[in-house]
Amino acid sequence: MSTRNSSVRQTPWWHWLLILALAAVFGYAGVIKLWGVADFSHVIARFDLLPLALINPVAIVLPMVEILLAVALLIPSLQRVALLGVILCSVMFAVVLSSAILRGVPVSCGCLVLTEKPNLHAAWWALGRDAGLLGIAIPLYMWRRLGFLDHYRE
Amino acid sequence: MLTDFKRLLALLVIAAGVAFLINHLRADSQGMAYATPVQQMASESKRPGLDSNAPPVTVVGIDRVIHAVNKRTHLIIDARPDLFWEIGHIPGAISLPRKQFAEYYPKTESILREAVAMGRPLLLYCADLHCPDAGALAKELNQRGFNGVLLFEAGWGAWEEAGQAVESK
Repeated sequence: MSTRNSSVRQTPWWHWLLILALAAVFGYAGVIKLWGVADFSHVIARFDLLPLALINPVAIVLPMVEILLAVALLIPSLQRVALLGVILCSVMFAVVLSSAILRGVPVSCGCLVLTEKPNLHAAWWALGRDAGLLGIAIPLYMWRRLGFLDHYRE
Repeated sequence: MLTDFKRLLALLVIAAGVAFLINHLRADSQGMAYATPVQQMASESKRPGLDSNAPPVTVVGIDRVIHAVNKRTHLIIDARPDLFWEIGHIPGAISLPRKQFAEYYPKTESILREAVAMGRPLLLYCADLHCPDAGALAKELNQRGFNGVLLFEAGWGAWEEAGQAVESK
């Protein structure tokens, strides 16, 4: 236990800063979607990718996934799994946004604001934000996998 | 890596369980079947306590709108923000933005009442199928006594896509 505590102290401060940033983004995004599930379902529908039967289940589940990932990021023993989840979610968002841009479908990202006016410009911005998240999450995950930050390695 | 995926899957299952439980407990719980904003509005207008005598909003297709434009049988109302109306709108449509309703309604009320009195029902549209503005505007107008409102649900997107005539300010 004492070794574990000392490992926590040894974890570089910038690592926690980046983890906190990811957790804040995912936590906030999850809470606003959970708050406005109905609006979020319209945002998903606008992408015109999912069959109608899946729109509401996804609108209900996705916010909770984001919130749980944010919480898991803050728990050292779950951090690696949470980082993998953040990477997969960000890749999924990037694919969906790219598809909308390629098809010329004006969408609102629905990432941090649900009432955003749908437009392609917003989709590009969201894609940029997504790339930023991936740029943080992938190195953190790889460092953990390669053992540079292996204090909590299973 | 496989362990990570297994644990992530467990996390997703927990998230799904908690999400459906919370949704079930919410007062405004979301059903499993998706409804467009217009469909939602139509079902809400049938709830007791709202104007139950009002006829439900009638959703119309583009053919009906083309006919209405050519024969001037309806007063067409653009529910999008005024900037979009200025850029381009269905010929003859007047602007009554849902988001600027308080500002625009007093200016347009006499036009609306005159049209209805002359036997020209109101026909509303906004951006597209997923735009909530026309449905919400229909509800506002309904509460002010304008019944039998028609709604071009596919909206401006479908009008442009069909290559129909466009008017701008």
